[in-house]
Amino acid sequence: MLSYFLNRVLAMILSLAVASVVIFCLIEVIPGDPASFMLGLNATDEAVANLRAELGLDGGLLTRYLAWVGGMVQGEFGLSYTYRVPVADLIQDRLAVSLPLAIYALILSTALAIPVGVLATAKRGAWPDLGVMAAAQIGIAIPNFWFAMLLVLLFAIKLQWVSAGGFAGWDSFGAGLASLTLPAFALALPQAAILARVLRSALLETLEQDYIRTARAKGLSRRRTLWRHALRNAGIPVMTILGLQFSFLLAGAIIIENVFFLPGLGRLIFQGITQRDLIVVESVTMLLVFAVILVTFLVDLAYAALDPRLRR
Amino acid sequence: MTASPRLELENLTITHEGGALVSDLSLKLAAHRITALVGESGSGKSMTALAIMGLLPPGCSAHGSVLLNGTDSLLGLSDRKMCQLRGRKIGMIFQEPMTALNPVMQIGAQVAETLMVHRITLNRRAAMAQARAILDRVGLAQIALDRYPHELSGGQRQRVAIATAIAAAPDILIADEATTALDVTTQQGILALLKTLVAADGMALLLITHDLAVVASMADEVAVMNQGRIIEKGDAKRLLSNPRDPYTKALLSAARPAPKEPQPVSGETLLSVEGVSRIYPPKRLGLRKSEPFVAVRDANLTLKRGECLGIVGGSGCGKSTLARAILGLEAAQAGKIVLDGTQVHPKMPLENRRHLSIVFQDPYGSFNPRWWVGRVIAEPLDLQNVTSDEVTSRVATALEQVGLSPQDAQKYPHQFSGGQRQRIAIARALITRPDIVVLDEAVSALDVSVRARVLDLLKSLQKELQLSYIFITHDLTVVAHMADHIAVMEHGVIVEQGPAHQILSAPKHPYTENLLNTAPRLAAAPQKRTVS
Repeated sequence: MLSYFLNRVLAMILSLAVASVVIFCLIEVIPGDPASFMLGLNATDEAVANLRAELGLDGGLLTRYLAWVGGMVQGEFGLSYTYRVPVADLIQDRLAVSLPLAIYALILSTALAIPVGVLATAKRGAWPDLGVMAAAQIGIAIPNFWFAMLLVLLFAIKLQWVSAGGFAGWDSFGAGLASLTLPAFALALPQAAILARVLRSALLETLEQDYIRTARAKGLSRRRTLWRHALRNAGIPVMTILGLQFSFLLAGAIIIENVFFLPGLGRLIFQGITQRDLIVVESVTMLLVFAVILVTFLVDLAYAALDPRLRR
Repeated sequence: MTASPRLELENLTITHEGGALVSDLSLKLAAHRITALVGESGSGKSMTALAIMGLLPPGCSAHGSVLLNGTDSLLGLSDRKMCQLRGRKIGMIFQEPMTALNPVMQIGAQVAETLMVHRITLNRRAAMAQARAILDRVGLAQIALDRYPHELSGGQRQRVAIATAIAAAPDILIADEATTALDVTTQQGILALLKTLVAADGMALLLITHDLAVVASMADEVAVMNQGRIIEKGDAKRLLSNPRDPYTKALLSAARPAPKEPQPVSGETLLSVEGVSRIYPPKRLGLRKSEPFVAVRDANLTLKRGECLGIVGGSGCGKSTLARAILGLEAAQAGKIVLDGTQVHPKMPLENRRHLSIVFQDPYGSFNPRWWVGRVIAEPLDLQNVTSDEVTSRVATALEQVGLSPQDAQKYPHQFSGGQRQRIAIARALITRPDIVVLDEAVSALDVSVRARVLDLLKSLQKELQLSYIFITHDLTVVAHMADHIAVMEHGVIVEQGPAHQILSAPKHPYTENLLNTAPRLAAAPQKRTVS
């Protein structure tokens, strides 16, 4: 178990190192000078020179890379060129929206998908299965921004239960949560649909296994066999999908953030790109890569928790 | 057989989409008695067991009557009622110990589950204590409750499966090919355990098997099934020594192929294996390294032209690894293998590979299901310069040699039975006109009557084509029937080798002796072999 854990940690550190090199090089290989790229065509030589100094572009490649990585390790991401505030502060503000939103959506999608997937498996071929699978197909097919707009129309405009957009902040936990509810649902629905389908097929495959027959021969009912023996064994593919979905939710919620005017990470990186703020782009990208790798690491640990055969 | 039977099957008929899988089956299981239900694959014996358990696959239905303890009829009970009986009144164990236990659940919990489901023990801690006692009883006193199935050997897993089945002290135990997948020594342990349990608890045991030797060593009564019907039943001793039905007779004689007459093999030495060791490099386990694993240590063998060399041993003894080295698929770390003057190793020229070929155990898994048979057989020729006309004619010849027709080249593997597929595998091995064919458990997955025909085929091919065989098996009756020379392996070492009759009649090494003594055997054939 310990060696499995150490192996995973090692893999995580290696991935991070490789990713940081790749991101650094990508920014470096942008044709021309990063400073003049950021300032555009009409910049004066003096402005470019100032920015170069500010970006520390005058040092060697290796020194600059080490300075960048070293800064990040200490939480120093540099100063945003467009906002003129430390990138770390920007990220912190945005993360306060994006992270809870991603977790919220993930909880919703799991809470929806597991009962639905189990129900579809238990009633395989009968109308609950067909109904659920048809609904899942629709859930996957509907673009989530369109579904988001429908949610706004119904719950914000017609019923007026929540506001149509914006973020109320975490001063009041209830208000913060309320402003994330519609976006979380909009994000969770297609994810839940995918997850339910994966769970159903994993469960159906598990139910073919010999140990399911053994469980039935012991006198367990179908239902109990499904919950006690099949569900955990079907957990690995479900975990894999969950991990991928969480990474997506963290970074890929950009359209939903725009629909609901949420100040999240997706919008930050989008603005960074349009405004050529390479410092923001570089740092947020690295942060997202870190999040993805961290989630992968956690998923690996979850595998071992689920399946004792992997704990070596 | 005076007491009322624990379980009584009367005119049990199982149908699937209108066709009958089992017809008019009547059988009684009595307390303290072991009843064997014998038959080849597809004879309906497992379906009978599943019908008793109420676990028939969807689309199957059972008619007739199944009476438990003389009164309760099991057929037509709701699944809820059946759940109360399964495990409580009737326990069942299955063939594959490797997959029969939930891989993510500790073994103690799996045994305790039977107790909890039937509310024999209501609290978890007491159930675990009882599970401990039951595991002790099945001979797993050394194994902690919190172990997982993958940490146990096949025999240990089957003992856990038995523990889950007997936990609630059922009246009836059904063992469906429960020892088929195990080594002979492990098998003997499990059979002895079942016998003890029947004697101590007075269970009625229904032993489902295709192995007549197991029947001979275990059963009080035997029922022989063929094509869904019981064709003969009665006292085990009587039936095995004096079968009446022609099918039973054929089955019995196929199950005990006559030992090969010792005859000197005069051919020149074709293959020599000198001091070969096969060592697997250490595996990285995180920051540590495991010990290197020695699969074969200092093996010395010779094989003459036209000779059959049997390599015998339990699973994991290194016999297949040795074969892979002989085939030049894996490099040996010490020693050398010389075939007809040239050395065999993984990087040898393709041309030399032609002289060696192999037939594997599983006739279902060793073909690409999307290729037609002609292409499957011809594939080894892709490595040689052979014109397409010649390929066609050689495929046709090979098919005829193994008793199939040239037209079969146009069919797909799934259109053939297990025995026919093994013939196709032999045809594929013969297509390159090899000198040596390695038969790696090549008949182990076949029914006895099919096995007898495939063995006959192998013998006639050997004579006709002057082939040498390396016959790898765990089955002593088969090796006695085929081999001129036998090497016995244990833990990667050849512990004993010599002429077959000598090894089988006067073994010198204790392991060989143990192997010979533990293998269940049928008494010598009372009459000459009649089946082809």
